[in-house]
Amino acid sequence: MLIKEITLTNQGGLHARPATFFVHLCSTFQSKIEITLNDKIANAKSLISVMALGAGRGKSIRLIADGCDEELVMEKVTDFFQKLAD
Amino acid sequence: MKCSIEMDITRKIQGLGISPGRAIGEVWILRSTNASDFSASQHRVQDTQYEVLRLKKAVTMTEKNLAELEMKVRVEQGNEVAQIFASHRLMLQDDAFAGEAYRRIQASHLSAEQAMAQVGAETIAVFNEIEDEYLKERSADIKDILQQTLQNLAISRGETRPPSSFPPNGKYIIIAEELSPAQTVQLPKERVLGFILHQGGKTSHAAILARTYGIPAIVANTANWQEIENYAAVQLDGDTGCLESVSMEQYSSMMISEGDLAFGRDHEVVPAPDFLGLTLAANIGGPEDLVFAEKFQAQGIGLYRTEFLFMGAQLPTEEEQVEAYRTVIAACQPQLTVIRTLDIGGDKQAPALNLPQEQNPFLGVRAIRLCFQKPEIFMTQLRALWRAATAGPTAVMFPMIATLDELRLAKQYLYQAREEIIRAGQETGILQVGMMIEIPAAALLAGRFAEEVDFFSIGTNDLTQYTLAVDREAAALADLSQHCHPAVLTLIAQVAVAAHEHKIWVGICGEAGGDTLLTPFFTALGIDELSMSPGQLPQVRKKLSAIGFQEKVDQQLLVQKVLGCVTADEVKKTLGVL
Repeated sequence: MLIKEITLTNQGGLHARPATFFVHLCSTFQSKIEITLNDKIANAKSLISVMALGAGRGKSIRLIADGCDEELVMEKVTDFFQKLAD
Repeated sequence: MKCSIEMDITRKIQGLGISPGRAIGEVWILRSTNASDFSASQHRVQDTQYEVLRLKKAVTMTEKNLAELEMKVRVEQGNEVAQIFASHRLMLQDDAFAGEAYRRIQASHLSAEQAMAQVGAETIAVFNEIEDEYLKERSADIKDILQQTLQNLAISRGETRPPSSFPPNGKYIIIAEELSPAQTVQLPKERVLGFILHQGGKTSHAAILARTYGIPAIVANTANWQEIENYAAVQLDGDTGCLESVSMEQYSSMMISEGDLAFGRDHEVVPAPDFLGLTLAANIGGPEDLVFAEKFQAQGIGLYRTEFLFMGAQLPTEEEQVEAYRTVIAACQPQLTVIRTLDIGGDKQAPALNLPQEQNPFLGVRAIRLCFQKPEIFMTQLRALWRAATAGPTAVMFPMIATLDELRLAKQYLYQAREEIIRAGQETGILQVGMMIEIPAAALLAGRFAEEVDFFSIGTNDLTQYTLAVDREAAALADLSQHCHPAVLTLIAQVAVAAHEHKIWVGICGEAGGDTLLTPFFTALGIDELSMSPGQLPQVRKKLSAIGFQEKVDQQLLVQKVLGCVTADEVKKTLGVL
């Protein structure tokens, strides 16, 4: 299991459009992926779950991946948020 | 028109402007299916399997609808806005949404409506607790897919659409509690003068869409405003957010002074941006080609070849055809979609039809001739066309017409199909009726045909093949098969003249349409539409702007010069210098 803290620096945070792309990306992996904000946990493969987290701009989320491709998940997702910020 | 006497008192509300512009007109109130109608009822159902099945069907319908909207919006406004619907589909498919509802039906013996409404309400509640303002507004997305699914469930119970749907004629200012993106996109925008929403903000989807369409919109609550009922007249200002009621006298005098600015003419044709009055359309083989038509900015579909639908192992049903045609029509409206009826035979075979081999397939039972021999297949397609035409401007054209008798018989079938639809209580759209000109016999008598159709579309591939008696598939004769042969061009010119004498439009939908060598000739002839493979559109557009910059080429002279040539090479030389 891998865990990483990510701060959302893009405009609007993880709102509908980025969240859609994010969920699409996460759905391509085998690993179980979750993101947490404060005490709330979201299934990264569920758009409603991710959006209901309310991860707006400036929020710090924790990314948790567990499974055979967890390293790839970390790499790709970090990449994704990096691009989002640019 | 209904009007109320209280309208004489002018009243004002200060709201929030969310899309600029001013609108004056009659209002139409849109009401939506209310989720709370279902969640309260606690009736236990016995057949949970059946309820799950009903919900699955409704979800599938919603998904399909969203996919169509996504495609339509992508064509009209690009990917940015279309993404909204992609998100909605993803939410709908979410295990926490429909999946949860399925589980509740099973576990608590709820009806499909109750389960969906419960899950929806809970999800909305979760969203409402979010602190982030932008994300909070997304609860509207959930409401939207919830409502669509409930509506589809209502349809599955045999209920017709809610009475909130848009009136068939005229232009209106829409009042709604809030407008979902799906509702916004589905409204006939050319008939919407403005929006008044009770809820929402500048970043709501409805606001974004209203601005995209250039429709004035405000957020103002008219709930306590008793006089506001359907057909009451109001004036709204999307810049200041001001809403005023207008008395009937004021309204009538405004209408006289502003002409048809606000009063909608029925079936108003939205002019496409054009080059020299010429429409550049795309040829497609099915909905999957729409992306290309959009990419290369086609102004509608000039030729939709329906035969690909028929090339599978089984013939398409009427419903499948309606679906396919409607997808294309909806994506192209307000521009025209020209659909060609089945053209099987010749080089195109359909395994499901199991047709006998012919000695000379191109001269045999092909296209309309085949349709006449298999009327049940033809009628199914014609019925599907009438039904699909409700989605936007549609034209039908018959291929391989050689004689007037054939045209008349085809039209007879067409109107019989319409009667069947009406008798079945289904809705029919409006169809322009045209024919392909691809047989010299039809080209020679174009003047006679023009009296009985709304348009001609010249199929230059077959016209060339039949004029020069050269099999278009025969590689050894490729040199002979040239659409710029003067004989072919003379026929085209005759057809164009005949069409315009009878005030009908004429298009070219064969390979020649995308041949830039011939573009100046076609514009000189006053051809109304060139339809081609989407990828050819840029080159033709480029050629057209080049022609536009040249000092007026004497068009009459150009036509004379081309028609004066005796060989294809001479034509090429004459046109090559342009």
